[in-house]
Amino acid sequence: MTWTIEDSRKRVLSACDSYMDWALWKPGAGQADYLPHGADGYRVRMMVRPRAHPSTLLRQLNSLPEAQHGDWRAFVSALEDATRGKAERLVTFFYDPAKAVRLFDPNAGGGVIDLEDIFDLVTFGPPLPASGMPGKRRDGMRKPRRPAVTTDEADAGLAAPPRPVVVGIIDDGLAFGHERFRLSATKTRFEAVWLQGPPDDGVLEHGREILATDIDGWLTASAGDEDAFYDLAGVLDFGRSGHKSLAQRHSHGTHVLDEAFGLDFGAQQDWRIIGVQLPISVVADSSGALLTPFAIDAVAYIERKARQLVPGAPIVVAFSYGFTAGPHDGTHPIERGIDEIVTIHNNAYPDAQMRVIIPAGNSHLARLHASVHFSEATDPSSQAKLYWRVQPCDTTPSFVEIWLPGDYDPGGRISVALTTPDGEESGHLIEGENQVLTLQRDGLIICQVFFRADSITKRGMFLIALQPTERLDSGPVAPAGLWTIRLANRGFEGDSIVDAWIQRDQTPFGYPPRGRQSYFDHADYRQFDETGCEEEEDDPGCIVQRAGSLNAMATGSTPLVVGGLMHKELRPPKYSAGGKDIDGSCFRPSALATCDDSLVHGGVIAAGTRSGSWVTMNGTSAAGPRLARWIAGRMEGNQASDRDAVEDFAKNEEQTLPSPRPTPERGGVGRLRLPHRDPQPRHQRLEE
Amino acid sequence: MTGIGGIGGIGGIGGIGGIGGIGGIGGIGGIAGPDGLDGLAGADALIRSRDGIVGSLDPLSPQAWHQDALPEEDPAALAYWAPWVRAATIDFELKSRIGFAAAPEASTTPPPPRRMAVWHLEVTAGSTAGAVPTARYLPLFSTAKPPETTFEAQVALVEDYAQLRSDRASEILAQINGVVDFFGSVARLDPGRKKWTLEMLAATVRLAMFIHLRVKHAIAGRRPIEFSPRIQPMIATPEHGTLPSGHATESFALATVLWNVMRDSGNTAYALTEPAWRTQMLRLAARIAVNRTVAGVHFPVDSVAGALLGLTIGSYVVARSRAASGAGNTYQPWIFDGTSGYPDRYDFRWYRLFDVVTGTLIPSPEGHQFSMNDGAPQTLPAASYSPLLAWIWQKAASEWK
Repeated sequence: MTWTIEDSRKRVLSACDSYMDWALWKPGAGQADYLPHGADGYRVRMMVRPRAHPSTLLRQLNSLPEAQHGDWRAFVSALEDATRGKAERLVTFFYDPAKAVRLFDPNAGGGVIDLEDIFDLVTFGPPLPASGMPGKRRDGMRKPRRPAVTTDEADAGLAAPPRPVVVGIIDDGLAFGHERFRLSATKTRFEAVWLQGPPDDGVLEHGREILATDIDGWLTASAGDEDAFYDLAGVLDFGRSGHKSLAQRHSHGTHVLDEAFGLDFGAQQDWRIIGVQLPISVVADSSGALLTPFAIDAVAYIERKARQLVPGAPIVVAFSYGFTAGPHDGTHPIERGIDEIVTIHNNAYPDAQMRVIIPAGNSHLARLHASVHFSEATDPSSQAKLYWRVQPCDTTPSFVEIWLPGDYDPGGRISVALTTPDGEESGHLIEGENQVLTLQRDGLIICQVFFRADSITKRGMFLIALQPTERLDSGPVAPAGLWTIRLANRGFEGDSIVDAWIQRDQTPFGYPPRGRQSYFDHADYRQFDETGCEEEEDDPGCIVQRAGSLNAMATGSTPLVVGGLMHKELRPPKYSAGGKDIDGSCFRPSALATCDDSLVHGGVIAAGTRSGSWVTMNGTSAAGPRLARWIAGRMEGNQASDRDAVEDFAKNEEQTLPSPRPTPERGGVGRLRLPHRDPQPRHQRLEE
Repeated sequence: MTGIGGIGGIGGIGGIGGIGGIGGIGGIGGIAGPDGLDGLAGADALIRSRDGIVGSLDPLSPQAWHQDALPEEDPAALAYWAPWVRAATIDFELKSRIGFAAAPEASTTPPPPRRMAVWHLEVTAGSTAGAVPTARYLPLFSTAKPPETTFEAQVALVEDYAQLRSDRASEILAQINGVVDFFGSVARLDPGRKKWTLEMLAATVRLAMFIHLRVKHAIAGRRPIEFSPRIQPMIATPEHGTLPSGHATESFALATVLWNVMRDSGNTAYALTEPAWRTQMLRLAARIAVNRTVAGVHFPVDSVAGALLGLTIGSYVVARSRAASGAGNTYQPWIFDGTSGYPDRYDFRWYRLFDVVTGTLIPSPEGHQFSMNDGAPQTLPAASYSPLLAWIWQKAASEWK
């Protein structure tokens, strides 16, 4: 195997997600994994932030060879459609990956439009099969829901009905026929469900939209048989291949939704559910890093549908999702996207605000984060070494993101070099240089390292991309084992901290195993304490740090971030991730909420996919919903539910609880001992 | 007699070296166990105890000799016999009235569906004493094998269902050898108070197996594992044909007989107007059938054929077992025709095939012509009435009052 450093045509200061260098642009070392069935017949969902209005873009036609004029017109047209009528600057749209490469590949040379001139942010999602007709949004024309339900008390004029609240969920495997999400045997609480991804019905940009009237009709037709219900809804078609989360007993989304917003028949609350189910290819992706365009679509959909169907209602969204590598400073595209939608909404509708709740993540002990402290006094010839253990039988690529502090320095304060498990050392890739570090064997690329400075924040980042360590068929395979990442100080001024995060590489809940998580394997990382328990506190002398393992999409300015709590012991479970103490940054959870009944009774009980079934699930994904329910209750009572209100509540709750008090990085403002789901007993449900 | 190992050797009867002792008849612990009166040690004990007390063979008083004759051909006598004897007797009643005929291979092109037919044997007693009874066959169930292209198309379904293997594993393993315990979780089937029901269900399962194994031979369907190396079933593929599914046949027959036993008790909770109990049983039967596809040993079409066969066998057992009263002794002969009108990738869903409200099969489900009645319903005349079956049926039904 040989290491080379070559010049890159791509600009250092770039709008484009570095993962595109690996998966899309030439030489496309990761393209075979990203587009396993080739580019033909597929479309890629992109999210971009245009620098100027799309109508000005056609001028670039002249710089292109004539053969590409058609592609360029189609692109501008797609962009115009995506931008039309939107208050947000970040927009999503589909584009053909083959055409994208033809038009935009910075490494293709000659007559190519430079994406950096048009956008200051570009990111993308996994490929979806192209449907026959791109769907233009027609959902505004669908019949709205039947009028709001009022309680008997309201009819008798005894008390005002509770305020309707839109409760949103973005997840996988939403059992939208489940009795916990119904008003009665044949009336649903769902207003709308968007099943993203194929198959498409042409109403929304992709996927299928299901409305309350559809669900009610199926509930009546299926007469209590839920398998029949989902057959009618067309989501259990075993003739069509693809993961069917609702065929399993336990799905992530159903548990989260029940814990957050599940109610029995006849409950007083007027909570209207709007759900979005992410595409299978997004959920199945072990890195979790390709969800941005679909996640933003989902948040935008919930916001739009809420205004359309339940005008004037506040909105709380449980979005129990996460990945591990990112800037952790609120500037990840998904964080920008969520912040933009929520901020615009809350400015326009201060009396009907929107909140998004995100889990802190479960990576506290995963050894995915390292933090290297460079000082001016550090001997420039010394190197910090990160030992990256890559697992065998990992059939998906592995990634490390190394984030530099402050604005990038074209002079190069730091360089990155790698050593393979067999000891082959690479040269140094220097910050600010327009180069790519590549490892090849027999003409196939095994590993690449890219440097990029974010065109908006100017913050620098190295992306290390490694091929899978195992494939069923032929293709480039990286050696498993201990890789060394060498960081050399070339001239930091003052104390500087460089953070490295390994990207998530795990099988999502209920899916067949593919990825295997790599981790930092350092001899001085103390994994166990004297009693044999896993050590939850950091040793300041070790650069592998648990602190700062927070969910990489949980550092935006608007979401409420929730870590986990063991209800009995009143401590965070050992996996609940925490932030870092960075002045002025919300790089920590707001509070902790229950996600484990106790140390030995792991998880919390909530609905399985079929009515009457119960399953247990743990993880900070189960903590967020606990707070979401409280938020919905606050909203219907017209009480404050923003981050300040949550933290005030947490602070007060914390006073009543015994020590030890969790640190702010791990536990935010404090622990919330919120009760389990709604206290109304099932047997008191009212008959229709 | 003495000597090591000889009869009556060291330790005497049953002891070490005695009968069954070391080197003795039967070897260590052999035929002669130390418990009860089985085997040679038991027989020896009985011989000796008679010898000891039989006394002289003076005649007993006439009264002591006398016994009234037991009624002949009395159903109530079933209660006297050992359970295995009762089972064999009931099996005779049921199986002796079952016939099978495979349609001959056709020479026309295109060939018509080759129906493999199961028949009910109608027996009419001769008009005079000792006359030979006459017999004729009445339709019960017939099947035509789907073309190989249907099975090939269904491979994709089996592969997709495999994603549920971990989810269903405990059920699949528990259901390999029998399913009665699962029905026992829906309706109480404890051996103490549901003894006759359990015997009726076991007889139903035996009849179902008697029929479906013969049909499987005729159809000779290849199992999923034979069509693709990627099925990799999670349990061993059984060594009989794929269609119809034995689990589907037995489970649906069992469900049918059980809900009808419960209904015939007169208990209003189980009335025909109250579908809850039978709905749950049918859902269970369907889940058992689908589990076999999940496991990788059946195609969905096998479950369709099996469910139709099982539902028909079940209603046939009910018709034969009820007291002769006309309407209660009616069953609807049925056809599964996998050749015409079975869409290749049609999946198995029980509620498309059977109307649980009326308790009857649905002809031409969703407009497809693979499932239909075979002529008019058959009402079994008195000659088909089996007092033995009726007796057990009544006993079973009364367990559900």
